[in-house]
Amino acid sequence: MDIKDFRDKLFERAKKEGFLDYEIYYVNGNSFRVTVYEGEIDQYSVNTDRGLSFRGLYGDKMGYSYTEILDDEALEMLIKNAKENAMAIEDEDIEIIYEGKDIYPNVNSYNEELEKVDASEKINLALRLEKETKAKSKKIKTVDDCIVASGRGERYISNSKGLDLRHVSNIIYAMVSAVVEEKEKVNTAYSFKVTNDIEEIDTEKLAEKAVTEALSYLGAKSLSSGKYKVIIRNDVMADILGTFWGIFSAYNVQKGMSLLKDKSGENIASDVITLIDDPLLEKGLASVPFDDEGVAAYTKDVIKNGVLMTYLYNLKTAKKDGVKSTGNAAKASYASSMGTSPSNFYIKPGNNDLQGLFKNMGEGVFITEVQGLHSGANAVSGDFSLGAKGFLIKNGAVERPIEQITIAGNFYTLLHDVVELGSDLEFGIPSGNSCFGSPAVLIKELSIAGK
Amino acid sequence: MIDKNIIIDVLGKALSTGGDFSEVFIEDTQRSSLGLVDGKIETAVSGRDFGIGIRIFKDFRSIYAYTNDFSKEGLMKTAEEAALALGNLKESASINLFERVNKNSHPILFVPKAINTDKKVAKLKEAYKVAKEYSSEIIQVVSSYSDVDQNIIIANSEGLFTGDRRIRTRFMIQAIAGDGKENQIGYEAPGRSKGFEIFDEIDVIECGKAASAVAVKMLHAPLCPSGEMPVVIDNGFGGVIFHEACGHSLEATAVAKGNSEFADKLGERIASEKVTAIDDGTISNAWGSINIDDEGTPSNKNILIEKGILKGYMIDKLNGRRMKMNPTGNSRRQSYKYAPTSRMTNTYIASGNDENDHIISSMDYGLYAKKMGGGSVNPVTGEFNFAVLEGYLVKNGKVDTPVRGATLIGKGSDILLKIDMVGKHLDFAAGMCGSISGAVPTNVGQPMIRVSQITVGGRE
Repeated sequence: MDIKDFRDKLFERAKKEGFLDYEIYYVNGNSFRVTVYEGEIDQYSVNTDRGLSFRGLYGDKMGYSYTEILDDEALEMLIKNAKENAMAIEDEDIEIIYEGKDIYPNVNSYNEELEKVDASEKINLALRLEKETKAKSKKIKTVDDCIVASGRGERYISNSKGLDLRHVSNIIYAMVSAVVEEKEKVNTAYSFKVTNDIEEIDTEKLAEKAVTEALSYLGAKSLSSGKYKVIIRNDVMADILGTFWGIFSAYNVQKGMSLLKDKSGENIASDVITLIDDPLLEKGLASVPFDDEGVAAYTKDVIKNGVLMTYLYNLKTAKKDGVKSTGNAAKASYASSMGTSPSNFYIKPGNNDLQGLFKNMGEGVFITEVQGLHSGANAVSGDFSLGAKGFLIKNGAVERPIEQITIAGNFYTLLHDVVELGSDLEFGIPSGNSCFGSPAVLIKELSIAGK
Repeated sequence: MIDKNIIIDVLGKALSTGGDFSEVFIEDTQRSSLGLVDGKIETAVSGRDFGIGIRIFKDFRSIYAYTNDFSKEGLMKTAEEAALALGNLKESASINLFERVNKNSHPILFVPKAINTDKKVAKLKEAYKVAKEYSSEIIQVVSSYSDVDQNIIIANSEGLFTGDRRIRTRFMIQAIAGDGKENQIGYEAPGRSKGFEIFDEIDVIECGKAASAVAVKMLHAPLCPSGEMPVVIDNGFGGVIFHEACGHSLEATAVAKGNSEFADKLGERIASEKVTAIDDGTISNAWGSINIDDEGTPSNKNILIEKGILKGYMIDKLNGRRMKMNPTGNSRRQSYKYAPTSRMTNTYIASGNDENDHIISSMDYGLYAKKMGGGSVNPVTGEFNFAVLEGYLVKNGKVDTPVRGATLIGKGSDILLKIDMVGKHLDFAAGMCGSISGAVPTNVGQPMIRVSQITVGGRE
């Protein structure tokens, strides 16, 4: 069944069944992925998919249901499940179906040229990336995970209040992981590029980055445990921000799961920190004209010079606090209920380059990789203890590589302990509705465990 | 779900460009979940995933395509698109299918759909009440119930035509203790390959108490020390150490291309002789169990390490070709959206002979890790990490003060040799394991063990 026909039939049934307001959230897209290994295609996949979520106000409770098939049976199931689910809800904060009379910004996240790139061109790109990576050094043992992938996705929201919004985006990424070996010791490092312009993928540069970094870890040793000054590399800090962003969610604040309760207008970070949520960012990988409730997206400072300016709101949490939604409503997947998430969420860069930060630190540790963010970091407590790699810095310069250490601290404290920011803003791989970015950050002190 | 003749045509079409193996995976899954926050049901979502994955091999190459379009035209088009990755279209292959009915080792008493939502809600509330009332310092309790009813059909060009139905239920509770300045959490998340009868075995009240007890205890606990020291890891979720330090590195995904520190080590000593490790997908109704894997191979009990000697890997069809070894019933995927690959099921260190008291009293100074969180590993280098959620210092052979969580790190090949004591009481705990074929339910397990030296990522 065509999506518009399905919607019309579904809405008709919803009305008949006593839903007051209702909405569909529909995603569809296609994706391509190729992995090469030793000059040949290793894995190849082409996919199309779609999913439809229905939600409706039954009494004053919102019921959700979803399906991946659009047929008459699914239609009945959606109505029945949504009704049952609505009746189970006890929360008194009311979810809202939005009228959507906003003026929506123009966000261009679809590149038509990318759709014209055929499979063989992407395969060749992956083959070239592998070849160039291999050619970088005699110490390369293997090239692992040499991937080129692309995708096109469409989001469509339509409801009984007249909202009817559509947004299409596409993306391509290339990734390579180099495995190097010396004296039976193995090290790995990877590099990637995400964009929607294939011309921006520079295989030579990706190869160089992965191999240089992998080689630079050879001979790494642990370090004595203690407190050290630390510089966290831009991409690593972006990942850490991506782990702890939830402390800025109004939902978590309202439920006592963030320690930022009643901190609006207060200093919650070092005054060098300005944290921005920018859904309108030019070439941003999480740029959108509207959020998942259909509220117009806009750019905002979440922290300005260390001061907490706002939490991230959707309609429900905004209503509870008596404020306006910040346009950050988000579903974790099309099937999920409504939550919150940032868009392009990044720490505004400073003026100093990495060498400058090394000089200012003098002696300390440069962290270039952390492991275990999903397990060793807790957004409710802010605590983290993470496996890490990096370099010992002495007299403002790199002394030697370090491995088998952990860095531990607390994110709330870390925000206060940032001394200086680098100028090298970098964004990570987008995930869900968000893309996190940061420059390198110089931190007063973190605990390092090693020998 | 889909007519057998259409499956035959799709499998044939998939081989029309020179592929030597084709496979169809059809999935129809119903899920439902309930979330309770602040004592009230806040989320209730249910729905149906439906899709078809088509896979083709030619030698070591693998092509994968999935779609939700289950019309014959849609499926044939998807098969053709996938096949075209291997060359030009020629004639379709002719396929015969022979149905196989598998033994069901995981019988279900109460199918989730047959249970009223009220009953599920009641379980969440019982747990909430005890967790919340445990202490005035408990500021929030979040709990959830979720069930999955997955129906699959697998057919391939070798003639296999079979299916499985996997029903799983999981209960989760997280308690948050706070004093306005700091928050700490405790949680429990048991799961089984069972329907609602899971609650005959799992006491949600005990779970609620246990979660709150840890949260409150950790709120008052000092920071964990850092550095290398002996560590005792308790049973149940403690098995995450083996899962990360070794399990992933024994998956064919890592081994086949030599990207594992344990590649080419069959028959060699890779662990202390106290260590016997097993992956067993056949344990009745366990969280990580399956009747057949996602390629249709029956699940198995596979000995990975016997008294320290590497005995076997976990192998899927594709990597098995490269390794010239048979599949072991470990090929798994999150859903039709992923090509399957070798993964763990219920993986554990088998019981040994040491008494728990003796293991603790053997330490002059060290850490007793009672509850663990998740972890991760880089199989190429063997560098792994996993989190301690509830820890205690041990001084002069006695359990001393509780200490806050910290991550433990090491290299698999090194740590396995340092497991020098293994207790008698094996227990399991449920987790979701994320890897290239998505998130799959796995059990980790072990009795209490001692690692003679490991790096503890504390803050003191």
